[in-house]
Amino acid sequence: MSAQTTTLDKSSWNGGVEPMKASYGKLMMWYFLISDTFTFVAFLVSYATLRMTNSEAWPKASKVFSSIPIPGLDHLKDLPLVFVSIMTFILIISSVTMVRAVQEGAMMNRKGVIKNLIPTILFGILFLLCQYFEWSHLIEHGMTMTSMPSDFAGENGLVAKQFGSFFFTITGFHGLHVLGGVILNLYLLLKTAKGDFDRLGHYEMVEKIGLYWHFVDLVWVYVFLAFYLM
Amino acid sequence: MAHHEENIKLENHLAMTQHEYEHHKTDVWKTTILLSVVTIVEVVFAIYYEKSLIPAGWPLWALRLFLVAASLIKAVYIMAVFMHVKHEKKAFIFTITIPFTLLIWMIISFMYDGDSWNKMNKNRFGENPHPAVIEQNKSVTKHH
Repeated sequence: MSAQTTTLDKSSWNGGVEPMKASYGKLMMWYFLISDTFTFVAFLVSYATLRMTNSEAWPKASKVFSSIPIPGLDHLKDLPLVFVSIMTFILIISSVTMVRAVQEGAMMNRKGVIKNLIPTILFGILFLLCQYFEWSHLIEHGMTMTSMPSDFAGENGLVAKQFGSFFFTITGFHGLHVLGGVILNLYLLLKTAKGDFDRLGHYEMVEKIGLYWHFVDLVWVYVFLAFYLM
Repeated sequence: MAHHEENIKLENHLAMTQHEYEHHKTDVWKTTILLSVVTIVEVVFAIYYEKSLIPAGWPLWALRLFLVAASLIKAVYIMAVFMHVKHEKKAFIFTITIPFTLLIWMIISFMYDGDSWNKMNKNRFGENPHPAVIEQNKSVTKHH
């Protein structure tokens, strides 16, 4: 150790050490995700609260989500939650390829990052496509922001009209996040292919956008719980 | 040391040794299997309950408690492994997890409020639904 080291102020409040061992950008991404969590929780808590005030008229998930909404396959009835489970797996797999891309980035392996980013983007697009099919199927069936079809009635034979507006608002907001993630990942793929991160000396941008992508998966866990499982 | 501090921006602070890399990789595969299994179990339980294949005496709250707990496990694993929180500094972990504890009371109080409204309406209108709900249902679309 040289004499220089001893003159450095080592206390946390003077910048001598890094108490969090994280860059500014990464920390800010986390703070953004925390604020976004609060937005989603506000949505989901208001859903839960209104559902509890009117629980007897609340549509059953196994009735609303009982078919495969892909054109040509929609004659397959009485398959509750099968399609949405496939959607969940699509999102889980895209999260796995994303975390693999982050790891390859940490190893400065450009080819590995590209190899894992491409399936991440494709699975993201596939998820959005599934959501498009599900939405159009439900809208065709008569479920919109303001109306509900009578065959989605709850235990007491009535149907809570809030269901449609909550469903389209919350899954729509989540879908918008997925779309944003796909766009960010495309940007990431372009930058990686150009070799920008190799010149920069690190792949931290992959990690930061990766955090956002995992957050989208994390939110889906709770959207899935609130609308489909409960 | 001083030299090191100046160049910190150019460094790959994510750098791992080959050993760490392999370890993190197996961690990811293990988590993938765990998330898949928990999701399948959740879906199977939810469908079985809806289809009343689970004996009628089983209370709904037990199923719901299970579903909430299972989702919480999934969330923890996604954060810990996929979002790398497990390998962060303690100060970092606290700064991002402590704000979430604010949500606990928010969720309990709002849901308690919703339930209390439902009970109040039952006291006022008996087992019949709230008149506003009946009014709403006059405009419900008939669909076959």
